[in-house]
Amino acid sequence: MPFPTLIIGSGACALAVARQLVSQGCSIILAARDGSHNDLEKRLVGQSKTAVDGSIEVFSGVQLDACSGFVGRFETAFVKNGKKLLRQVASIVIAEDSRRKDHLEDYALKASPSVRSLSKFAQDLKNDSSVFTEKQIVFLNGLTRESDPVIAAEIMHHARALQALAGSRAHVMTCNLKVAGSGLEALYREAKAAGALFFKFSDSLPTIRRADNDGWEVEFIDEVTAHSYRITPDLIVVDETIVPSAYLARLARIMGLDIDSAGFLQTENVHRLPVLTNRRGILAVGPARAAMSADDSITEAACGTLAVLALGNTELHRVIEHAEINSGRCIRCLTCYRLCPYGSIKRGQRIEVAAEACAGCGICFAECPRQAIRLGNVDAEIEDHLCTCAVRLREDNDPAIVAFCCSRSAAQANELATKTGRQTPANLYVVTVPCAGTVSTAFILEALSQGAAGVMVLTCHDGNCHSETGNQHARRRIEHLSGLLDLIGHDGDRVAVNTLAANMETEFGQITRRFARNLQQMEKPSDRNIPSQPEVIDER
Amino acid sequence: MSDKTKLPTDIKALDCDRFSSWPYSQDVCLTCGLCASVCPASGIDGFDPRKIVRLTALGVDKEIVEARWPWICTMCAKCEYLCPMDIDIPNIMRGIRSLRDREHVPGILHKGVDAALRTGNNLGLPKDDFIFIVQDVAEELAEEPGFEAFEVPIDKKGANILSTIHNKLVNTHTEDLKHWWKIFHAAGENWTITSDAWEGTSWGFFTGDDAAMKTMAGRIVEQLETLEIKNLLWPE
Repeated sequence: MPFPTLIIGSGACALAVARQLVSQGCSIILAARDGSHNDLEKRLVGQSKTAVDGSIEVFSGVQLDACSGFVGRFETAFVKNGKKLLRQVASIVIAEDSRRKDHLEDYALKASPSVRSLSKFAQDLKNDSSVFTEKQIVFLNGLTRESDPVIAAEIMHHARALQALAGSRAHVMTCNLKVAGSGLEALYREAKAAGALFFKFSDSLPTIRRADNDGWEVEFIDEVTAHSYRITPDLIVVDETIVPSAYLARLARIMGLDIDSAGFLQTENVHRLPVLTNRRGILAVGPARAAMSADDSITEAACGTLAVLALGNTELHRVIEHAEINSGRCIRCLTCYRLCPYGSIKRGQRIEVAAEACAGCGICFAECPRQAIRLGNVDAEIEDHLCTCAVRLREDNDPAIVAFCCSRSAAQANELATKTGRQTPANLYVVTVPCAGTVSTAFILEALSQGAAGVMVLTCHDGNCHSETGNQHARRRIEHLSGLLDLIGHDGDRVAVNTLAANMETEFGQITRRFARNLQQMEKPSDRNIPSQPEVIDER
Repeated sequence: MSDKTKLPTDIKALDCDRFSSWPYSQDVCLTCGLCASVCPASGIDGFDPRKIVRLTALGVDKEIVEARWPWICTMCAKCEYLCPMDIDIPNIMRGIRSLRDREHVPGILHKGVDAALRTGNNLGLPKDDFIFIVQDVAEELAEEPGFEAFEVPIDKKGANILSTIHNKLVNTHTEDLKHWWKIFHAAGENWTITSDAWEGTSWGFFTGDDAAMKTMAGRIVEQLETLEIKNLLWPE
């Protein structure tokens, strides 16, 4: 690749990706907000520089200021000491470390020698574990909000370590204890075998209060035995949430990246796993994409490295029909720019689609108010398909249904339904579309005017759309159109939207049959006296 | 069991490691409830297998030793069969039962163990009566077609199999003796029962009394050695 890969971060995960890419002969730029230049370089290349294949550039104390361009050539700008550093990079790996937020406030507790956050306690235990001998220690885990397996694992590690100290006892007060992670169940067994006491709360919570002697009292009911107990701990350790670095919000804004509800750079969309973002060529790895343990984020560095290498391997690219803007028709309204889930619209003298970043979802095509966008041959093929079936649509006695099916889900469900012999309506015409986002209102009206009694748009489930919003656009259009049909005295239920997964062949049959039954109960459009013009509604 | 007016127990007052030497007492319970759902005694007196595991782990000995519910368990071991964490609840139950003073073991079990240790069987059945009963049943069996020559072998030296007998088979369920006997007869097996230490039901097992179990098993081994028999069929 002509341009290097930019790696943002200074933690173990960022450095692991950097080292792996360099060992693969790639050039890299490591840009860290903190740390000293020398230290980073030393951690990156180790003692011997001879093993280095690719070229390395290290920036420390820099933040990204701007980023434009697309996969293969991003123009990035960093600011350091008031000076701008400009670099062109082929791809970007974000591996910025996460932060911790303690839950002291949730429990109405304040940090003190006898109340510590998990991070503080971990540090203290590491510095000198002997101060915790003969100590009764209470850990609070997930009592105020869902705990994370990473936090639970740390607490169990500490509990096990404390049990090895003379006269110490760890008491873990927990709601759901999540042990569905690598090695967690074994750790739980070990901590318990070592004598740590676990109290699980489902219907009640422990009461924490000041004791007369200025110490603490924790009172609770053990829900298994219904006995009430009291602990007078020397120390209360409060759990934490792993939260994304504040820098990620800035990066997301500059690069146009989708974030999840916590602020990590990957939505809960299966198509993004393991390290993809909504923008091709920008990868979110380890602590930048989710709360994860240090071990897991180093393991995941390899996924980041592979994803970078895959970008350079043209054989791995699926050929897709990407969108093209007819600049003669375009009025620069930026609807496409605003709606493109992949950030693939170029704003220059002309508005253009960056083919290398476009995933061909067709949302821009369907939404462009000037019909200035074509989707390769896809849109023409859909129109042809509708015209071809028009004759049959009119002639059949059964109500004719056109079902626009997303290629990633409903179209596959249809294929499976056919192969497994599921019953579908006799007069069903399936039109496969790249994404439900492609199905414009014009297509639906076209199908109706060609003689379809009803039109269905079958999309991926919520949160499962590759284009993130394609299914939402489809739903919005159908709901809008349905209301308009009602308004002109046409049955609004003739258009419908449903979600399906690729493996739901039974449901494909059920949904389409139910729709056909509903259509049969409606009057035939031809039997009705449809006004040639909508009634004028007096709104005064 | 829960008493709201009672003051909470200080955890420090418990001896939480008290039972940690039991090889089967580690509390890795996830409180999933599979044991409670399958237990035939669940709900009786508030009984729940999870409580046993929990109380043992917390070292709460007074309750588990004095309560009635450890004795409600039938030791069917379905809980152990289903437990995803492989907790050996029946053995924990035995451990708990072993903690009770022998004089306070529930009546019938206590009397049974006592009688077994004194007389060799849980019923305290005299040897002559035992021989009379089994021979009487053998005569009944000989009247059935195909079993005309049947005789019950007692204390037969050098037999291939020694079979123990559940006491209820020489008490209320004598018909059930015949099932095994018919099989032996039809197979032409060289087998025997013994006139001493024939008891196959070890209530030492159910009451957590390892010493009693050892004594009773030892007597059976003695019989095997005396009669020079290598194989033991211990159906209980």
